[in-house]
Amino acid sequence: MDRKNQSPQGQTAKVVVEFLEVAINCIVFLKGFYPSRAFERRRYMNVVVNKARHPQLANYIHSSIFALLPYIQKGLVKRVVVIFYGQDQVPLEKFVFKLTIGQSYQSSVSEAELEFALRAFLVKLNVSETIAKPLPSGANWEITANFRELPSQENEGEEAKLWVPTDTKQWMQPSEITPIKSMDSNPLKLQLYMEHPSVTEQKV
Amino acid sequence: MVEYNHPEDTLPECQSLFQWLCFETVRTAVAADSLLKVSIFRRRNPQIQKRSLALSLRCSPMSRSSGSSSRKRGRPSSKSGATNPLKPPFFKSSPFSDFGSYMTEKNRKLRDQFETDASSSSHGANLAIADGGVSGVDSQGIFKGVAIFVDGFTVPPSQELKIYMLKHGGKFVNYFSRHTVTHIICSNLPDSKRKNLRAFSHGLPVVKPDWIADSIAANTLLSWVPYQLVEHAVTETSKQLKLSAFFSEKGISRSHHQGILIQNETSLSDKCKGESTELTLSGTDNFSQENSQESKHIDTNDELKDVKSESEEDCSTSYVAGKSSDHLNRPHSTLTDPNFVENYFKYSRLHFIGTWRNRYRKRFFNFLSGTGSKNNNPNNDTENLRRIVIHIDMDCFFVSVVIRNFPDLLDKPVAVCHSNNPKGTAEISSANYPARSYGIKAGMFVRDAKARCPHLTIFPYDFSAYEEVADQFYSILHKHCKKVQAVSCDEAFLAVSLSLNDNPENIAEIIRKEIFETTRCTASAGIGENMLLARLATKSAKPNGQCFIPLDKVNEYLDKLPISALPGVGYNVEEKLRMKEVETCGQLRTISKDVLQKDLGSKMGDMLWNYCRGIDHSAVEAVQETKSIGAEVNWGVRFKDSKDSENFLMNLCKEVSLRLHGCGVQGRTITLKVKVRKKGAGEPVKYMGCGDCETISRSLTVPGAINDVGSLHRIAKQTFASFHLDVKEVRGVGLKLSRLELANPSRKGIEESRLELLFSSATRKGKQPVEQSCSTNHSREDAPSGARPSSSSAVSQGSNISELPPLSHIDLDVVRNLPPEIFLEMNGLYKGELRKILESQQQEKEYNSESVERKDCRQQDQEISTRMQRELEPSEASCSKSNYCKSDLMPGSLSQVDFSILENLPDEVRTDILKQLPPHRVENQFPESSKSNLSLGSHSKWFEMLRVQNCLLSEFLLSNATFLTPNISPSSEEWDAIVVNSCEFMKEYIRQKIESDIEELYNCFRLLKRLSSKSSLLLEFYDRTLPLLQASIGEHYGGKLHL
Repeated sequence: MDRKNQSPQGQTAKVVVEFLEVAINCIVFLKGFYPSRAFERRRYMNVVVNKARHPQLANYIHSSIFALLPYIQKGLVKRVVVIFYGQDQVPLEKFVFKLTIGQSYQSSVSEAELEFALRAFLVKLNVSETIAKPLPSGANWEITANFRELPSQENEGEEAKLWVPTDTKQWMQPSEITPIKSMDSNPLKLQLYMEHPSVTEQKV
Repeated sequence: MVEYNHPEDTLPECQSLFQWLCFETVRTAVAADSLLKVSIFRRRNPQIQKRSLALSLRCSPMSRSSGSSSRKRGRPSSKSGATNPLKPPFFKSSPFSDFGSYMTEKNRKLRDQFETDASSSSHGANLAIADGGVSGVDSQGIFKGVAIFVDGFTVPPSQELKIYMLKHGGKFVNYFSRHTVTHIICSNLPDSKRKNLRAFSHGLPVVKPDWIADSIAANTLLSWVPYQLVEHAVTETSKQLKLSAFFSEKGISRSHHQGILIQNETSLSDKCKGESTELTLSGTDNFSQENSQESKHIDTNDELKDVKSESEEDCSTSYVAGKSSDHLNRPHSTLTDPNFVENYFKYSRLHFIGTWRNRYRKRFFNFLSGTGSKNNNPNNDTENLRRIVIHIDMDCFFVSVVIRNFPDLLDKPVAVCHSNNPKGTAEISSANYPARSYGIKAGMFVRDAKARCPHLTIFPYDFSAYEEVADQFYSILHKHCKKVQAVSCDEAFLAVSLSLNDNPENIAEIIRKEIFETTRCTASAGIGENMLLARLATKSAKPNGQCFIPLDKVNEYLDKLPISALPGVGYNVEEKLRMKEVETCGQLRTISKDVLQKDLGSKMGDMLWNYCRGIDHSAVEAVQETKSIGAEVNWGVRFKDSKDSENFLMNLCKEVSLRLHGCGVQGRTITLKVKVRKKGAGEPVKYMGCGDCETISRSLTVPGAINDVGSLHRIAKQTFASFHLDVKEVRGVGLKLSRLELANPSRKGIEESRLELLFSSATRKGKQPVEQSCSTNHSREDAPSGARPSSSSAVSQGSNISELPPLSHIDLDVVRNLPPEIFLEMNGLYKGELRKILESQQQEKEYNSESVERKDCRQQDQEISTRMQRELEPSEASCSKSNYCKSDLMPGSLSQVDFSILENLPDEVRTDILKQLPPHRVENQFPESSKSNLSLGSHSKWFEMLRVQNCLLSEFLLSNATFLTPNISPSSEEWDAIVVNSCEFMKEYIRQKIESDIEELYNCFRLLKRLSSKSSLLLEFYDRTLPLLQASIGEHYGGKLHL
């Protein structure tokens, strides 16, 4: 009942958010950021994935992604980025989920097909270890989201209006992009790619 | 073993008896140098109400000499006592000098007792056990001269037999003696005795107790020959109790036994006629279940009493043989009833309920489809009408339907249950209200229910009656209301629009009255503003009442309602809320939605928040979508080996497939559920039930929906194997398909009749060469699994591996290199076409290789396009619009799985694959055509090609890699044209894909980069387009592609 009453966007957004949570779990595992025993093997969409076992870690990923749900639903979120930093707060590697949820279009894709496509992401992600660069010690990571525009002010609290400075430094040079997987459908367009600092950047 | 059955009236003798027993057994044990176990127990015989004490001493291993066994039997033997050198001192204190004198004395006393009883019973006076009308005057003495010795457990029990003997002039001997006994009565014999019958019986007839019963009934001494116990045991092969025996209810159980035990018995009831009698339990299980089987068998024996003599004989002989160990160890599989699954569902109530909806849909199809269009209108335009939901539920449907023909049972406790055997391990499925007042609930064992209410009447199911009543019920509902949501066979929601001054209770009253008049069963109705309230109201309306919760009374009603009454609130939720000290809806209302959602999940929280306020948004829907279709068996499942389980799976798949076909759907997710006996769990209380089990389930999603037995079985088998179970522990198996899609014939057509299309469309002419060439390119991607060594990963995702690919899809080069036997097989599949094509191909190749040098480009082109026309037309059929929209999502081929994965493969695998790749591509059927297309075709043509074909450029590049290296001299005019055209195309392609699919661009350029090392043309092409690509990437993504 619940599902039926939803708009296709809402439905898709839910799937996407769920997917993002899993994918980010996978990325963190993939990077070997935590010891592998901090993860447990699970099955999602029939793919073996690794899920963080530590409640705090799992909760961080879960809560930060689910906090995005309303914005993703409205199509405000442009990118969800998992950034890995070195000690100096300079990003070393980014996993970028670029997503577009069409607002006007009625869904043409069944949930099953969507899942099938998203599964390809997970499969590909699981074998993308070689593209990723090893992290130095003292590295850190975070999840960020880039918005297309500011969320409308009327129904958000004071929090939304606040500007908080971030420690994150930007790359000076255009990054190097390695696509991992893309899908193009209605209403969801999703691309996953990695960004690394360009060679010149690293020298600087 | 030394054993005594001792009537309690001789208790004073017990002490000395016990002394003797100990002595005797110790002696035997010492002699045999073995262990000793003593047990004393009391038996209570319910019929006699007289207790008897049984003493038994057991020593193992048993001494097998017949002399000692007869002594142990307790035969008075003066010798054994007299010659005993180890006479214990305590024996002297007893009034008997030795055992022999004790036994003689005892036998004498028993005989006296028997005779006094007999003389008193001849007056018909004081024996409580009256056996109906048989105790007539003439019956006196039919057993004259007959002395029976009862061995072991019999039905009727030995004390009853003794009374028969008393009344009819026979003798009952407590202790066996060759000289006093004429007949040995027993129902079953242990295997050792059966084998060595003469030693046991001393040549006396061993007869079944039914002989006595039947003789009494016939009032004459019947010949005992047909009642012999052992005669047929040797010839009978299948002794085990058949599983299908337990599918029937009590009502037909007698005929069932006949049907199962006596093959080809003519008196088979209709129900079991169709059943094969092959199905037996697996040997090992019999071993563990022997006891339960035994008692089960005995339970039914009393029903067998009046069955024809022949059948009885077979029955018990097979029973005896069932215990024999050599049968237990029978090697062949036993779960072989081909109809097991079918029978299972035939007699399952849950199945009746489960599949009822389909029947309902078929029957009331007109109503359902007819109302579909009308539904929408009244919803919108009715301002002055109010909508009311009525929930109608028949009162204890399963019982009241059965007893509607027995009005005198109306206010007596009645339950419905599949079996009413005295063991009482069947579960009650429904009980009427008088029975409920005794605390009898559904799911309770009959045994327990009878303990609470001894006069409980139990009825079997009557499925045809249920069907009839359910149909009547729904006809009435549909008559009164356009919009009916069927919940189950006895429960439905009605959405009624009433004008404001109508009393909704009236319509419910009318409906209920009509239901009662038509079906003679009562129904209750709940009326409310929405489905939730209607459902809740029904609860207070029951039984046979109705309840209306008007809007202004909702809160009042809900205030005191315990939360467990809300639908969807189960044990867990209730427990969680109880922690918060919330027990009623009123209390629940004080909790905010956020807190609820946080504690119970967003959906559940939301739902509860609404429900406790009486809010329910769900609408009454006439037709509800079927979510999944499956079948599950968790009763009577016992496998002996993997063969059994495979057979069973096959049958289950057939059943599921039938159901899928019945509903006209296909499913994509196959879930296999297996119940496995929990470690340490004993045999279940419920006979053949699943007991304490762990449930494992695994599901698999296939890309293409399936509903055929073959694929179902394949997947089910695979999944089952992946559990790595000991099949003997399996107690239940279920197979379910979800993600259902309509089995669309047009869709099917594409998949199944490609071959047909291939042949039929071979006659069509005049297609555009470009399209054709593309379609072939594309279709090569779907080459069969064997065709390309590297395609295994693609195949694992493909559902249509099993179907025959069209000829044009086949990589002929592979075919050529196949081993001859495989080639022959394939050729056979294609009805010989393959060989023909291969031969013609061979000729053309030879011809081409000669001529290719001499021809100029244009001629070549022409020639090839004509050839293409001939060869490729068929495959054009396969490029249909239907799969166009999907290809972005579905990696339809290996090429999309792409090189980054390939690179991650282990070195040797990768080199293998790469080594294999080029040769396949060399022998493309139209190498030059694609080259010329690439070079000469305008970019718009390319797009059309890609669009029509819906393939990606990277796929195209991958599959045609080697042909993109033309032998045109650099810097010629033609060269420039090609490069310019290609760049034009690539520019367009980048523009198209940059937003949505940089993966594809990345793949293209990786490929180009790789290929450009071989071809200067491609290198130039690559160099020219790369900056554009990087610029676009920079523009959209703020970076550069890392190539």
